[in-house]
Amino acid sequence: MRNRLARSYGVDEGWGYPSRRDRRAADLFWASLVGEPAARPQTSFGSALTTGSVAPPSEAALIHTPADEDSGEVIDLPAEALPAGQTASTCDISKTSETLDQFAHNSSTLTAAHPPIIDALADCLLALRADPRPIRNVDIAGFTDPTGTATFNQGLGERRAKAVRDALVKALNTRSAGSAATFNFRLRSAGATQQIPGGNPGNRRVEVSVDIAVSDIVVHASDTDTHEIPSNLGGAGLEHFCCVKNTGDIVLQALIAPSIPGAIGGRLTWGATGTAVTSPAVGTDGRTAKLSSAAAGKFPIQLNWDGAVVRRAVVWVIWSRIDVTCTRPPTTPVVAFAGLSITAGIDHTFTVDPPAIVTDADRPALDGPNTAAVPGAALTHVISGNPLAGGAVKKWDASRQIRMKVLNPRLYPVAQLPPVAGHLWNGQPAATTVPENYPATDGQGNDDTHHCDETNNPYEDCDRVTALDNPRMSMANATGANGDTFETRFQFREFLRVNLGTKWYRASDFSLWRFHARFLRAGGAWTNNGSAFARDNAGF
Amino acid sequence: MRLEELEELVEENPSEAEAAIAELVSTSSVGELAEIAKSTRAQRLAGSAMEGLADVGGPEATGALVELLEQASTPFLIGGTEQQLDHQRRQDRLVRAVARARNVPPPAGRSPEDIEEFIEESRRS
Repeated sequence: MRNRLARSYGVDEGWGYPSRRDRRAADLFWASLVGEPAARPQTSFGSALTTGSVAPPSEAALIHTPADEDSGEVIDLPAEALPAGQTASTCDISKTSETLDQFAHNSSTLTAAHPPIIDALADCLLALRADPRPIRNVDIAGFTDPTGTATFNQGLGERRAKAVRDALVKALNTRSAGSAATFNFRLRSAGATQQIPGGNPGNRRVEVSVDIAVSDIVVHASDTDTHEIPSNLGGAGLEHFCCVKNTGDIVLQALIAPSIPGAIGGRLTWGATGTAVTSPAVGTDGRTAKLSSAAAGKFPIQLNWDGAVVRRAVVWVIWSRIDVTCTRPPTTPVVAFAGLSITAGIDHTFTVDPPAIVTDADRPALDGPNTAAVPGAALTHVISGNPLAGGAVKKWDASRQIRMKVLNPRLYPVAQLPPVAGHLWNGQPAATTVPENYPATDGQGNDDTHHCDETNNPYEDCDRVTALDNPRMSMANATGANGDTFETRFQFREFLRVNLGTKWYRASDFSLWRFHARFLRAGGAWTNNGSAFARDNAGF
Repeated sequence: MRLEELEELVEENPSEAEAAIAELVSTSSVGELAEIAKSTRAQRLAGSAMEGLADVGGPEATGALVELLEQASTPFLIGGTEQQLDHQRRQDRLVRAVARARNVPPPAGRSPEDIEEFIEESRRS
């Protein structure tokens, strides 16, 4: 918390600069660039850190006016008026730079006001070192007022920078032995070449700053349905972020090192091609941005720092078109047993959208074996009893859901029904049973224990995945008496699923179809009693 | 080791499951191998047990395999394409296992008649 703030605001210059002597003890690093006046001139380091790009504060927001400079009065800022997110600490890690000024004329000796700043700098640097992406470089630049020759001022600036460096090294090592060696101090002198308003004491200064680097883009923790998928080109490729359609906002986060959210201000911006990108996506955190997953597509995105592109990536929203390519109405195949079999069939083709996710030279590596068990892997198939775990081996997978109803009005016992290894006949004998219903879990294929009847390789099949099914039901003539009926209603939902990271997602609409196998016992044998096939789920 | 444990093992550590089957083969445990091949829903395990019986060879193992083949030689009556392919695959694997156990070539065809004839021939051998 900057519990005591004093800041001047030069209207003509369009940027503010703290000038109070006593501001330093509390206002250690520069104020977060959020709220810092715009158009601050580039300072000595040429570092983006010292360039604000947000609007100047309103008058009401100013802590004090130039008139206050002369008063010497310290203004206590009420805690409730402090910017959100700032906490009471002498180490304000929302700042990335600090100035030690008021050096005596022609002197590089630290003043009495400097040690507290040095101490707080040391605290902050050690705190920042604990960041997952710790800082390494600390820039220290010395400046002078305009009096004296350029050569002299160059040397004086260097001596001031060294004096601060030496004090900082001592303070660091006092706090943690050897810690100073973990930083790379980069010293330079700007002499009198970069004057700031406020007079010579303010120009007799040393600025200490740390670099901010945009090191990565990641999926924000609040978004559990977008997954970063490595490029098929490995490290040579872009970052790829994938989700399926209609899974909410895609929320991304830039990782900066050190992670000082408040230091971003408006300098970090996001761009996207083909869709809108909104930042911040989470609270006021400018590191975050969101895109919609409402439409399938390939959306290149970019991260800009001070207007320059520093990171490119691609967001993929995945879906697929599903087409029925062949239907086979109910027939009665010749089967070598004393009874009747009825079968029907359907073929589906899924065309992945956007096709570029399959055809681009640099694309997410969604080919090859899957990396997660399919939903419901431990469950078993209603007829075969085989585990659903075998339903997929690749990351793309044509799958199917099934629900079944058995109409057994004559209450045949299980022994008189076709043998199955699964739970199809659970509850028999009963006039009506539903031994299997559609799974509640999206992406679970409860009629998918194999991949032998699917292609699942859009990379070698024109962006396509195919599946076929020919369900069959039989009744033995040894069962029943003339006039009896028996019916099994098979209803299906075909879909494509895709394995992203540790999860599976449905990546297509459902294609509905049904096969109702109806048997009538007549003339001592079972006959087809108007079995039905349709591309809907009616009449269950 | 119980069948359920073996089924878990084949999922989690296939090489250990293979080692367990190999142990049964080394001790010519035809009854256990036949029970695994008959009862397990883990197709990989069933296949290993069938191959194990073929490795053991001899009249007892051949008899067990022929019995399994006979059970698998019923027509496909209920299920979808996956179940039908499963059915055919199990039949084909058993035909080849019986042939290996007997040290004869498998029949060229897979028609019901071909398989029936092969079963009869295997019973007589």
